[in-house]
Amino acid sequence: MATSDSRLPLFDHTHDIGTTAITGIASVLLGWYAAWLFAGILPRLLVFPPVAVLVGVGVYRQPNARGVVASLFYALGTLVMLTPVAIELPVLLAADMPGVTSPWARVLTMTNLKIFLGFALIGAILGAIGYYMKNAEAIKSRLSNLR
Amino acid sequence: MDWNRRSLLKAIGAVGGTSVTAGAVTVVGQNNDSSELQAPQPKRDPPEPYDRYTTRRVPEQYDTIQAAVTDAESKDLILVGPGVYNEAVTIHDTPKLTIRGTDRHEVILDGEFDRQDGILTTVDGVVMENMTARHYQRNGFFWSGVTGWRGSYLTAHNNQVYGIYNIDSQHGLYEYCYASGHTDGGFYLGQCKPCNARLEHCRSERNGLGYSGTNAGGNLTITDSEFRQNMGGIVPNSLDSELDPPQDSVRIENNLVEANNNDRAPSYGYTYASFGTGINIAGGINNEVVNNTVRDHANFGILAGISLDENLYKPSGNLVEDNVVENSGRADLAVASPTGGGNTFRNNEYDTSRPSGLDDGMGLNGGDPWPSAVSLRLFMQTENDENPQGDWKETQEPPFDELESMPDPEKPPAEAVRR
Repeated sequence: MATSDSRLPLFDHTHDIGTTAITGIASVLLGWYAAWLFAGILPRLLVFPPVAVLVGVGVYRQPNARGVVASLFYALGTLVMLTPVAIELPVLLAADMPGVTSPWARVLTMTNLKIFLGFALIGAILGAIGYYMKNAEAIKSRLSNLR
Repeated sequence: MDWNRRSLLKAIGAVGGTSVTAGAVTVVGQNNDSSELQAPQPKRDPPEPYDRYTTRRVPEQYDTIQAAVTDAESKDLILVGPGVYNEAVTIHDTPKLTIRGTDRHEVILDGEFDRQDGILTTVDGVVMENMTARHYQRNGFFWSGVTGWRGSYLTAHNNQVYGIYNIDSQHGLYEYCYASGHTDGGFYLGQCKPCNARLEHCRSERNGLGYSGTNAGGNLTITDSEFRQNMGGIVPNSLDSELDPPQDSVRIENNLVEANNNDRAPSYGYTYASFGTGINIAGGINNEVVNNTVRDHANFGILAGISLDENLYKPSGNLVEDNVVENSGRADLAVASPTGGGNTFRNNEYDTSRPSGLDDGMGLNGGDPWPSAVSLRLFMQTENDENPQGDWKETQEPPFDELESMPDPEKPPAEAVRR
């Protein structure tokens, strides 16, 4: 349950202990996931703190627990969608290495397109779950109006 | 694309094997795997020259090398003069034969893109020295199932499968040899345990793999050699396609391994799964990777990876020590997940690793699934014929002027290796 008398900077409300704990743990996990994902491109210590903080702040600003969980699904879905990008980026970044002559040809393939679409689908499903959690009442209402 | 479970499983391995039906996957390479093998093969004393032998000269006495082989007796020297020999030589009956060219670059066996192997032997103690084999449909030089073997000052280039190939053999040496332009390993040792062999002062360039060693280990040292501009560098690997897996105990020491990212190298499909990796221990155990310089690799510098065939082979008990690894696209050092444990990384100069802290004493060496994901992607591209590959017939020829010939080719023949 969010309050309206937050003493924390950046926030105009405070969540209960459970929601706060979920926010904190999930932020750390998503920061760790992002650092792992992009470890071939950037040092983990440059990725983990900003991602964890951004996720934490963005999620905690949601007005209620449903919004918090929904935002976590959005964040997770985004990172899942970025997974094939993280796999492919080092191919392009290694373009100037001796012997590498056709990095784009190895990136722009049907296999990679399928991988990208697969991860995009999983990310979209996670996003859809988040959207449903955040807008469940409105969705139910619209569905009942349709009947 | 025809996917089945085994294809998916094998995808994560470094190189492929024969096709079989799906079955239960047994995990091999656990921490408690014990081995009685020692990794290094110490340098041996020089081979003992033969006292009594006959020198048979080609083309002075024989029109072809094969004619000389047919006439020869054990311990004879077949001395081959300059010329292009359009033949495929086989030695099945005469052990301890030495076939030697008088000039490494001017004594050329040529398969004309039609014959199988330059020289194939299935008898013990055969020595091949100081010549070139090119344009064969299979291998340049080939020992199979022998005890005692040696290849010295050999050049193999632009043969379809392997350059200098050895399977199911023990007690041998590759020295001062060169291989380029092969779809699989420039150098290969397979199915020996223990091998009791050394590969030293060799150079492997522009092949699918610089070195491939399937289930080969035990008193086996790869040292003082250069592996560059292959699709993948040094790849000891465990596969069910050959006998007696897993690969166990090879020492890879003091080599220069660089720029094995060559997307125009000829490639047998699955070799692409090791693209951009300098040293890939694919499902091997108890190996020692020591004091190598490994640089400029698009994926991983030194990787202890898994190999999945009919069984899952996990890397375990490998030691990676005192190497200098730099400029790797994804990570300088890596252990793929799942791992059998006991892989030790210490005193290496490096910048990045997967998992993190691999070499800093934090003990985070449980393995990272990322290298397996990278291999899976490469394999999927191979399955869809999207892997880049050059034409083995068209690959650039060797830098002949940089390859030294054997000193004193008129000297007496000698045993393969001292035992």
